[in-house]
Amino acid sequence: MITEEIYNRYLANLLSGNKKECSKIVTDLLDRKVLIHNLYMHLFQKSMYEIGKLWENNRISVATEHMATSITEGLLNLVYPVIFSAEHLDKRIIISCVASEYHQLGGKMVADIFELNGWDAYFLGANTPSKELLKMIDEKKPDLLGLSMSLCSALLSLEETIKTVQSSISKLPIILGGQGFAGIGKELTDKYSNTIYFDSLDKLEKWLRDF
Amino acid sequence: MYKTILQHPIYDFLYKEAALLFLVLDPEGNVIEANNYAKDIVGSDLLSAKPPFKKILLGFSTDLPPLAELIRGGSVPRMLSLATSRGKTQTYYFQFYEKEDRIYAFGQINHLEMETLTENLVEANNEINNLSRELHKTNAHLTKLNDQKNHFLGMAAHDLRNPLCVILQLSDFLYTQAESLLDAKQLKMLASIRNASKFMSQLINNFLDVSIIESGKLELELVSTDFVPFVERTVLVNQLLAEKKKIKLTFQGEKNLPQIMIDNYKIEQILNNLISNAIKYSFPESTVQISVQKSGDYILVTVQDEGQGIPAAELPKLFQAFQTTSVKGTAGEKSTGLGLLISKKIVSGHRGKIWVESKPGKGSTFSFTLPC
Repeated sequence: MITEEIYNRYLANLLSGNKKECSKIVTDLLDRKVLIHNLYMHLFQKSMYEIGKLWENNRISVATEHMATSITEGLLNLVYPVIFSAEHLDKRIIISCVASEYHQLGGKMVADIFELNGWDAYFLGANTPSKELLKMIDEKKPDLLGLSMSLCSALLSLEETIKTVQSSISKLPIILGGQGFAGIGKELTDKYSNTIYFDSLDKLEKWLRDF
Repeated sequence: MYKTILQHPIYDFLYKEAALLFLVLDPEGNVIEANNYAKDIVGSDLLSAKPPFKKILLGFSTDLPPLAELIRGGSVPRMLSLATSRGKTQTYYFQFYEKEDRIYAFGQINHLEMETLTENLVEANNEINNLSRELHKTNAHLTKLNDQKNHFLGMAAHDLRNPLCVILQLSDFLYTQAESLLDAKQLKMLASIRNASKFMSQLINNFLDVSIIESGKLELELVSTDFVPFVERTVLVNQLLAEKKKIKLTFQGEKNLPQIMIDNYKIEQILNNLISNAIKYSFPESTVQISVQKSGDYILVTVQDEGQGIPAAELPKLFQAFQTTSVKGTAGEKSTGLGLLISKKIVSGHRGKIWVESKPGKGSTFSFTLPC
């Protein structure tokens, strides 16, 4: 349902900051009952990865990247009525971006995928200090913790967070995800026990169904 | 002009291409030379000789510092705002240098300030988006709870209705058949059982109605109806109730009204509710007037009583669930607190409106409209 023509039109509008057109495209897809999984994977994630590459190669400015991220986050609001109407399984996950990681869109989309699969997903947002994270874990008693890292410049914060959490709650499984893990995901999961790295939403969702 | 100070190709390059405002002014403050960046930012009329430099600056007062004072400030950065060619205001940090009969002004943006501003905006935007997510989540949870409540209400009411019907029928039977076998005290007890059962039955029926309406399952069976005779019949049905309290019911219906599409059963429910309320809160020897007339594209129905009236402060909540007023039935009659809510939902379903006007001590008028 998300054809190449639709994707290209969406990307062009996203890059030019045309929020109204992007919203129209997404609304139209939702009216045609697009699978939320497909919307997230083949429109939102795909376009944001492409925008990340364009920025990395200095083809677009950081301002354009911020604007595209902001528009995409706003579009998630259109999907929430579907996401939050799923039946719940009495399982909980806390998802957070580590301290000094300001890119929160990926983590938020993962939280939404968990909700869609019946979990109660608590999303803490960008730049969450370890102390605050521990407080939430103590309060919500989740079955899983998710940590998001979009830029590998936040690696030190990530490792500090894993160590802090595991010294308090060693049995809490931690899932890791985000573009910042490219090339180092396996290394980290070897270094820290009880951690799992997912390099795609697809693989995460498949694993989730068997959890 | 610039070649007098810029004698190297690198300076030439910087002058032409740098993201820095570079202006050359004469002693009167006219801009006589500007680099490409300055022309882009301020506009091509920058070099139109007039106005003097200070007029392209903006401030909250017209008392901008004289050029001489700006120049005396020298290399100490001075914050000044310009009107850009895009109609925006942009703040630059300027430094001034005087050489021979020329004044050189350099202006640049405070990048640290811009970076901080961007960071703050991104953070604020993230917070708004996260709050929006939480709001949607809470909303979905509340909707689920409301659905569960309606479902439970419907189930409970449905299951209670049958045993209650049995109690009502048997107590009615005993009251009529065993009258001669029971003493006055026993008959009074039986009357209490009947009255309490009738009230419970009414309450349960109201619960069922509310449950259906709140679940969005209200279905209207619209039928073309000759409305004046329809209302007149309903008024007649309530005559006995009115006569018991020595209250006079009158009806006035406009002639030749067009037929309207209504759900007869549900509109009758509203009329019975409004008329019985009027009787309930009125005193003996008073009148309840029901009228039907055309009002624009609608039919207007009014039920006016000469009863106790309702205090103004209690009127806004009247059409909400389980809201009863401080005013009590003149013969001790009770109220379920759901009748007006149900009436409102049914009227809304017909795309009409319902409202009340009331004065304590004078009486109340309940009105509703139905589209023609």
